[in-house]
Amino acid sequence: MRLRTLKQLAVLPLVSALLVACGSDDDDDDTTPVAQPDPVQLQISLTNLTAGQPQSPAAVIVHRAGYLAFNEGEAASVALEELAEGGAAQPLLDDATENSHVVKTYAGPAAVGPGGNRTFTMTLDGITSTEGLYLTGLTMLVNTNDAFTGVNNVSLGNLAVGDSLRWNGPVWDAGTELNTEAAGTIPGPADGGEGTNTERNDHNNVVVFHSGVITTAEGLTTSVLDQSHRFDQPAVAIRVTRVQ
Amino acid sequence: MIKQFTIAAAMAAAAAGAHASELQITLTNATQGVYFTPVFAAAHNDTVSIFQTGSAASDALEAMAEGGDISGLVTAATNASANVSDGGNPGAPGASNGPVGPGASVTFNIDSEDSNGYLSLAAMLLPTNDGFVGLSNWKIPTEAGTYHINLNAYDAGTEANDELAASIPNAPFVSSFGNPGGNGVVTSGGTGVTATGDENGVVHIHRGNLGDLDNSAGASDINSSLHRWLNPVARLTVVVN
Repeated sequence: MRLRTLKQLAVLPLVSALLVACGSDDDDDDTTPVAQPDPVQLQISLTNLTAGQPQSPAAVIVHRAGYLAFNEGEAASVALEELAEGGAAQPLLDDATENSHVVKTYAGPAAVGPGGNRTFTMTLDGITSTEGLYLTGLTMLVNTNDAFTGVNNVSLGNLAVGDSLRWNGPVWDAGTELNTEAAGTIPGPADGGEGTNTERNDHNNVVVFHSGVITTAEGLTTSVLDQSHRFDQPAVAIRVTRVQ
Repeated sequence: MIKQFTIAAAMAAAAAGAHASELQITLTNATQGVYFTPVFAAAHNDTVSIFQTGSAASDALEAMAEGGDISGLVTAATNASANVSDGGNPGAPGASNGPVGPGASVTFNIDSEDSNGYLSLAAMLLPTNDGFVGLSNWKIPTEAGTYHINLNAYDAGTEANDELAASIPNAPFVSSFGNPGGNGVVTSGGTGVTATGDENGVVHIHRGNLGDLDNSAGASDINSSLHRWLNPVARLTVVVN
């Protein structure tokens, strides 16, 4: 029998070492028994590769097989719609937290401007190998109706300490809002308009790759976007380094 | 002009026919408003290919890219002892499925032999002059599992991208597409985006449709709010059993 590529290995439940009260040591920071391996620590960086698309505070989720934020060709969840239309990460993170396959979530503290970078560290308590772990990290291109970028369900493989992985994120269209580019429909600084609207009025109501923005520069006279807001694939670079 | 080394041009002796793997393949059209015509897909050996970037298209590839006709590719593949898609009808290799609408998916099977370790796929993009979604000589993993690939849009380099209705197959499934706000169809009256002679001559990454928002004039008969894309245009899920 051949091995499956997508190993669905359940995490080996680490025996939670019971903390033994130790009369000779009352240092509150020293709560880990000496024999316990250090938990995996990942340093994750997101770099905004666009010219004029600030990216909303990111929703970053480390998980195992069995969690999927979205799939091309399928309708977006309400939580993904809120991220893609309004830049709100929390609904997606709340949904993830309720999923038993999710290991850890991180909420980006702020938007990242064009050319900007956000680097942070996640500690995966009780986990000592990245084998079987996947990363999903999503952020809205805020000067659009419902475009978002990032990585979707990419494998972390078996990283040794010091190893890095890098991905270039495509741009998806959530399929939840028509790309009118019209005043009042875009939450970013190009417009300052509405974020999430629960109406679903796009052509197909499924997630697809984004076709880009037209802007006034190419004849969409009702667009609030100009040539500076155009983008191409990829829109974000994501690097993961195992630091512990 | 030197034609690329095509399936039709190359023959490999049929191998013993040892059964290698059953592939279940799902193609998802991940564009907002572009159709895929019926899908060609086959597992074949490493001496043949359906296209190579930087090389001129074969006649069979041209027929697929300009008119959505995959019969030439199927014939060439069969002649090269390839294992062709069953179009979702198990036991009927040589069938095809599609068209595939924006956001839609099709699933088909390929029962591949040991000697055919490479996967290729092509389907025309509508509306375009000679654009197609393509995969060429992807090495089929020997380890069972589920694999995901993003596919790009290519330009066959055989026809200038004038984006005029008269140059683009007028498939009923395109003109009947949703037509939101009257923008869903290829219109007419355009003056042409490029001139004859600008076809480039070799298979390359498609620059995308330009389009415009004028349904009765302008340079293009293609709609810029609906018929554009950025690569990739498709997601392929390959289950190797």
